[in-house]
Amino acid sequence: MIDVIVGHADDLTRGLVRSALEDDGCHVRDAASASALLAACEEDAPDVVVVDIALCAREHTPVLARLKQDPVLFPVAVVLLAPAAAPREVLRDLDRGAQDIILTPIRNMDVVARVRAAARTKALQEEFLKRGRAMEDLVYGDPLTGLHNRRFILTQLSALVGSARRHERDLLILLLDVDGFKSVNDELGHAAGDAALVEIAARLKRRLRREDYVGRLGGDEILIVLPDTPARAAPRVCEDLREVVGQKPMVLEGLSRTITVSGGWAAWSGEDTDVLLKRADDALYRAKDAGRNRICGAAFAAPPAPVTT
Amino acid sequence: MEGVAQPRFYFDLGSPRAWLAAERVVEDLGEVPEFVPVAMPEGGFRCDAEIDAYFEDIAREAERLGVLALRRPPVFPTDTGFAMLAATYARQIGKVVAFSLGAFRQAYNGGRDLSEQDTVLLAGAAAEIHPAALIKGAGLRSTAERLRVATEEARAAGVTAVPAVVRP
Repeated sequence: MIDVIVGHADDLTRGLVRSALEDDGCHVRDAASASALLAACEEDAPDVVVVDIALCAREHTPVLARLKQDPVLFPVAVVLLAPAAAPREVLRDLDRGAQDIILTPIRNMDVVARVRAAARTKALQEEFLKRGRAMEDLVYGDPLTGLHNRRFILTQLSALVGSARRHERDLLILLLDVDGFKSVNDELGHAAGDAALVEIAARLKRRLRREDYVGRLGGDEILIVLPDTPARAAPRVCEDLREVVGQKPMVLEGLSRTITVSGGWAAWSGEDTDVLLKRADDALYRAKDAGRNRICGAAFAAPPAPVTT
Repeated sequence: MEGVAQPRFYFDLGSPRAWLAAERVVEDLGEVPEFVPVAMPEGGFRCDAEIDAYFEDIAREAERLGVLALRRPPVFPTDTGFAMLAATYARQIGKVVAFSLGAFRQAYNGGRDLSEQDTVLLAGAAAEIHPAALIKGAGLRSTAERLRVATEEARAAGVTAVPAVVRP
């Protein structure tokens, strides 16, 4: 059922539009003023607004602009009721986001046909946006683990480094590598290796905040980005994430097996993204060399060399 | 799925004690808690002298914890209604930690009044939230509903005052 709000100052015209749409099976609300119309939209966003162009143009409550600039209401299709004698205003409002126009005096068939078309276009726009989001998931997601992929996590890390620099905010990264991943693949098969990665991802995600990012860089290497997390908190926070992965065995191909990770963390201290990553990577190597299933922290970045002339 | 969910850190921006806790909660817990804004402002002060004594205590605690020195906001207690809705919106878009730390610091390091919209927008800017989006997001009925639900959930979990940390 199409949900419509009719906005017109004239009771008679409003009633005519309303009854034409109700006869077609639409759910119709109406409003006699611009502010009442906007309030009704805020209350419950309709599929279509049918509004008098004069009501729409009132400068103190510019209905069309308000709807099209609203992050929630912008998808609402707006159909204008306008006299044939106002072509300039109609063209202006069509440019500003109105979907269609019904010339007054109205004919019931016109109202029904244009509202149906507007609702259909809105549904197609929503489908288009949905497909766009699905496409983003494909482009930025790791299909195996459901984590972000390398492209996304590195782009996000660069953005967060920029933000940390602009606002002097803390930023911590943790690079994890699955211990003995090759032996899991060799002994239990690649399906078991995949299942281990899926389980590790799930355990990590459950332990992180909404603002944290976790992505698979490739193979068994995972990058976690924790904004607003100070360096002094890093050892315990990273240790906690290591424990979360390894504290309970996983069932892989019917066999219970404890999978552990090694990790290297680095707190941002003014350097560029690649230097920050390199520091975390060096720390990860130290963790591996020190016997695995442990976390090492990066040394602080060297201050930039003084400029000499 | 194996593993334990992270703890929840409940706070109200009108609480200087919650500010102190927010500055140290990750370090002290050794985990990254989910920041959850709830409407539980501090109150019950009987006179100005009591508020002065309270802030002296907060200043000492700030010094002990090594966080940036307290600068008292001009009005206390103050109306943090809009600020809390903004924090709830920030939580929804995954920026609640940056926003709430920004707002706490505006109030208790910058000495600004969180009942003023500009103060809240400054905190939003520090979290890279566009002012128009923050105003709109805070004004949504769904945001108010989220704040109400979060507050009720906190109460159901036994939280009667903030700051509080609860493990679900």
